[in-house]
Amino acid sequence: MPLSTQGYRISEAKMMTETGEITIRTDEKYRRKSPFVDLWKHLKRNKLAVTGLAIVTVFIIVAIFAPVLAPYDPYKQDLTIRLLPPGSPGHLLGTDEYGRDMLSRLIYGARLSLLVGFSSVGFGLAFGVILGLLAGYYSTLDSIIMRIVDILLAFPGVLLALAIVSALGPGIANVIIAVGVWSIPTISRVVRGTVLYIKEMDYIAAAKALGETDFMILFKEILPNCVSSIVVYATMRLATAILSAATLSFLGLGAQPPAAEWGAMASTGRNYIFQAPYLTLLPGFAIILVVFGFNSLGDGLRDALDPNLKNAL
Amino acid sequence: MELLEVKGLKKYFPVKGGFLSKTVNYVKAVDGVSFNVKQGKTLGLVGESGCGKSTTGRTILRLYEPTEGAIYFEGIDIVTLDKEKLRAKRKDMQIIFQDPYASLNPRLTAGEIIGRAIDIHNIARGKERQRRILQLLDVVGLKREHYNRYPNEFSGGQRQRIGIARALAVNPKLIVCDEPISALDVSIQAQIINLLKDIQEQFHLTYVFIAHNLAVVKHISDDVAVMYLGKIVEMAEKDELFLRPQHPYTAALLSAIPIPDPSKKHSRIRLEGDVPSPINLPPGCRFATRCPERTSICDEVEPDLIDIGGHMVACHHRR
Repeated sequence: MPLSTQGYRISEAKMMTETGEITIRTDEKYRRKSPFVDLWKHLKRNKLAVTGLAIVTVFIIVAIFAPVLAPYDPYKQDLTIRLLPPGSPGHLLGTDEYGRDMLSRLIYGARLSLLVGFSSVGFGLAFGVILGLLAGYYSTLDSIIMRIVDILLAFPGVLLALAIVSALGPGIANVIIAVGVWSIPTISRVVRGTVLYIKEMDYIAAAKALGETDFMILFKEILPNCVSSIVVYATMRLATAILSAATLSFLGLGAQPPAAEWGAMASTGRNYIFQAPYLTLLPGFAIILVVFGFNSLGDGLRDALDPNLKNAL
Repeated sequence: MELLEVKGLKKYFPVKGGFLSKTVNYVKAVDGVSFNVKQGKTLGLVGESGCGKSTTGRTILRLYEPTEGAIYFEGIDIVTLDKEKLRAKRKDMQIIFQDPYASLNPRLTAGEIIGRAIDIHNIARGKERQRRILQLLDVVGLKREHYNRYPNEFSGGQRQRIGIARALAVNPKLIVCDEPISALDVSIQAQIINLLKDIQEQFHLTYVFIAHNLAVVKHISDDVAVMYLGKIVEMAEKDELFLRPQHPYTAALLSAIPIPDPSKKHSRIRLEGDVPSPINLPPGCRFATRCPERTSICDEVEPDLIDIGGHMVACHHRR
C-alpha cells in the first residue's frame, strides 16, 4: 500500500510470522539513486539546456554514424553537377565547386569537429586539472604555476593557438595541440579556484588528522568534489574548441583541402560567395548550431550541479 | 598518568603584505600555552571566539605546524616526528569538528567515510572491516541502513555522529573535540554530549574539549583551562574553578552564565571595551585593557601562570 508523506513514497510490505503480522516500510527517498537520475531531474526543467542536449546528441550521433548517414562519398568529385543549389533533386543541400555533395560533407565535418573538440579539451584537461590541483593545494607552487598561466592568458584569444600552429605547421593534429594548450590556463584556473575553497573544509582537516597522504587527499577527497565544475567547464570549452579549430581551418592553418571540415569548407566557399552563398553559410550555420548546443548544455549543467540551488528547488 | 603534555606551545600566523608579500607581522593565535591531560580525563578549554582555543586544539594534532613548544604524547614529543612517524601516530589522536556540514566529504557515503578511516591504518579488512563499520554506526546511535546514505541525507546531529564514528574508527586514545556541539540544536546538544561521555567510558578516551558554553564544559570536564588572547589565564579542577574563580576574566565569564531561577538576583560583571588585536598585543597583562582591577603593574609586567595551591592563575593580584 503506497502512502505519501512529505512528497516521497513509502512502500509497505506485510509479512506473516509465527508471532503475528509485522509491517516493513521502506522509505524510498533513502534508496541509493544514480547521480545521473538526479542530474536529469534538474536539467529537464531547463528548456534551453534540453535543447542544447538534443543538439549535442544529434551532433555526436551524426559524427559517429557519418558513413551510414551520408548519402554520398564526401570526396567524390563530379564536375558535371558543380554548384547545384540546395533543394536540387538527389542533393538536398546542393553541391560545391567540385560537385561534391554538401550534405555528405557537412555530416563528415561533424566527425572532424567532434574529434578536434574532444581531443583538444581532453588534452587541456589532462594538464589543466593536474596543474590546477597542484597550484590550489600547494601554496608554494601556486605563484609559480599561476604566473606561467597568466603569461599564457595574456595572449589574446586565438592568437596563442595561431602562434602554436604556425610554429608546428598546419594540420589537424597540430590544431588539436594548439587548442588544447590554449585550454590549459583557463581549466587550471577553474580547478585551482575550486581546490582553494575545498581544501579549507573540515573534512580535509579530518583526512589529514587520519593520516591520509597528500596524494590521497588530492585525488580521493578534493578531485571528486571538483568534478562537477570540471564537467561544466569542459562542456563549454568544447564549444570554444570547435569554434577555434574551425577558425584555424578557415585561416588555412588547420584541416587542409579537400578535408571536409566546416571551417575549411567555409573558407573555400568564400570564392563563390556571390554565386553560391550557401557554400559558406551552411558550414557556418553548422558551427553556430553546435557551439550553441554545447554552450546551453554547459549553462544548464552548471545550474543543475550547483548544490546550493539543488536544495532550494 | 599524563597522556598529553603541552609545553610552551606557540602558533603564530604570518601576516603578509606589501609588493612581494613579505611577512610584515604575526597573528599570535597561541602564545605560550602549557597544560597536561591525564589518561581518561577531560580538559575543558574555554574562552571567547578568537582566543586561540581551536588553534590550540588543531596544533596539538599538528594540523597546524607549531611555531614553538613541545607536545608530549605518551612521553614522545610529536613536534619532532617526521612525516611517516607522524602518520602512524595520528591513529592515536583524532578530532571532532564544530560544523557537521563541513566535516564530511559530500561525495562519500557514511559507510565509505568510516571505511576510509579504517583502511588508512589497515585496521580491518573484508568481512571484519564491514562488521566494524556497522558496529561503529551502532555505537554512535546510527542504524545499519544509514550505511549507504550521503551526508546531505542526514540531519546535523546525525552528521555529527558520523564524525564521531570516523574518529573512533582508528581506536584513538585522545580526541580533540573542537566545539562539537556549538552548531547543533539545543535538543540535540544533550544527546551528543551524553554520547561523548558514553564512548569516553567505553573506549577509555581522553578528551581535550573546546567550547565556549561554560555549562557544557562544567558537565563534561574534569579540569578546566580558561584562555584569553592566546594564553591560559586560569586553570584548575572543575569544581574548584567554578566555585572559586580567581582571575577577574574567569569571574566575568562565570557571571555571564544565566541562572534558571527568575527570583534570584543576578549580579553580572560587565566587561568594558574590546579584545585587543592578537597582532598588536598590550605590553603587560593582556586582559589589563578590560580588567576592573587594573593597577599600574598590569600595564608593565605580563603575569605568569602560577600555582597558588591546586589552582593556576595568571594575575598580579592573586598571589
